[in-house]
Amino acid sequence: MQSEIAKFLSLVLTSFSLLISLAVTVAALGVSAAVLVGLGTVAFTVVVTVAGVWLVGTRTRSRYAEQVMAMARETESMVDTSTEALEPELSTEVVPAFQDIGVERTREAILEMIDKLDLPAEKAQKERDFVARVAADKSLARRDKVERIVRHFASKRVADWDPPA
Amino acid sequence: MRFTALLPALAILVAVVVPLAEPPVGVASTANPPARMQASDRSADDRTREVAGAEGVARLRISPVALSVVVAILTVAIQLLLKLGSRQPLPGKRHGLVREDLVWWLDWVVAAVVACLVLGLSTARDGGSFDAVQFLILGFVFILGLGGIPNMVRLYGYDLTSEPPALRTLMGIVVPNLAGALILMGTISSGAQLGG
Repeated sequence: MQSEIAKFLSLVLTSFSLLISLAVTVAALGVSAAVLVGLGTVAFTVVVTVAGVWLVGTRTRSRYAEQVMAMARETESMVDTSTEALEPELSTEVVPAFQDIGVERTREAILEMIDKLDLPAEKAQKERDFVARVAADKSLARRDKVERIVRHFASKRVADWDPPA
Repeated sequence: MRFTALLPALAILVAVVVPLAEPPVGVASTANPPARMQASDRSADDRTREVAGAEGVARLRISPVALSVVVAILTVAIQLLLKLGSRQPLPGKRHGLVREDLVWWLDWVVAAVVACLVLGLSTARDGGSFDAVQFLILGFVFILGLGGIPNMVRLYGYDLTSEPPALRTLMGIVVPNLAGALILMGTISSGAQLGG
């Protein structure tokens, strides 16, 4: 209950702050100029922020793919080290980066990664089936689907894969 | 080349080009104002022209919009540069930047508070007068904003199902940044007017 009140209050305070800020802008510049300035500010902020999210996300996803492929090709002892290196940022960086692009594009990216892994055909098909099954699972939320897929390939189970000849 | 290396260049470009694009306020005219015009009737622009003309100095005027953009870009660019320079690159990455580094609302709100104080102090120092009500309203914006946005980010901005909690893109990064930018815009718009 307290948490709900705190949530509500935080939204009300922020909204009032922004409304007054807009009113101050209108009072200072006039309506037409304030509308232009407001739209410009919103456009600038959204574009710059989304560009930043896209850039950081792209690099994070490509690094994840590199890490997973490196794990698949290393010896078992190296696998443990690599997994540990990746684990701290899985929750805060990698999973959100994949959640940003959605289930479908995550599925495509992972399938592309599986193709590059040079796994034996049977194992590769097993992994593709896993991805398809999770992506189609209606009992899971969109975020959970992405997280399950991403975590699967970052897990130590990857060590079971046969290294390429 | 690191992508953030482009940001300061862009900021400098904006800082130089935008003011030049604005019409400079009178540089040449030293002529006396028309006799029928009383001193009290003269606009701030007229007085600025006189002072600038008398000193032979070109005074450039920058619009509140351009000023907001310059402040916003410079704040972000300098902050990113300092983070790039001070952090160890993450394993396998060429830099140490993470999603948390895209949270710019903090810097923009701080820049707004500082800009407001500086404008107020400089106006007072120059013997000018400013609208106290407008300053109080801005103070109210800061109090509400500084009380609301951090709590909004804490309560809505994190995915608590993951361990450690992950910053959400929309409610943790985009919306707070938007709020910070709008507060900066309001402050600079009214502050630029107050400062003449």
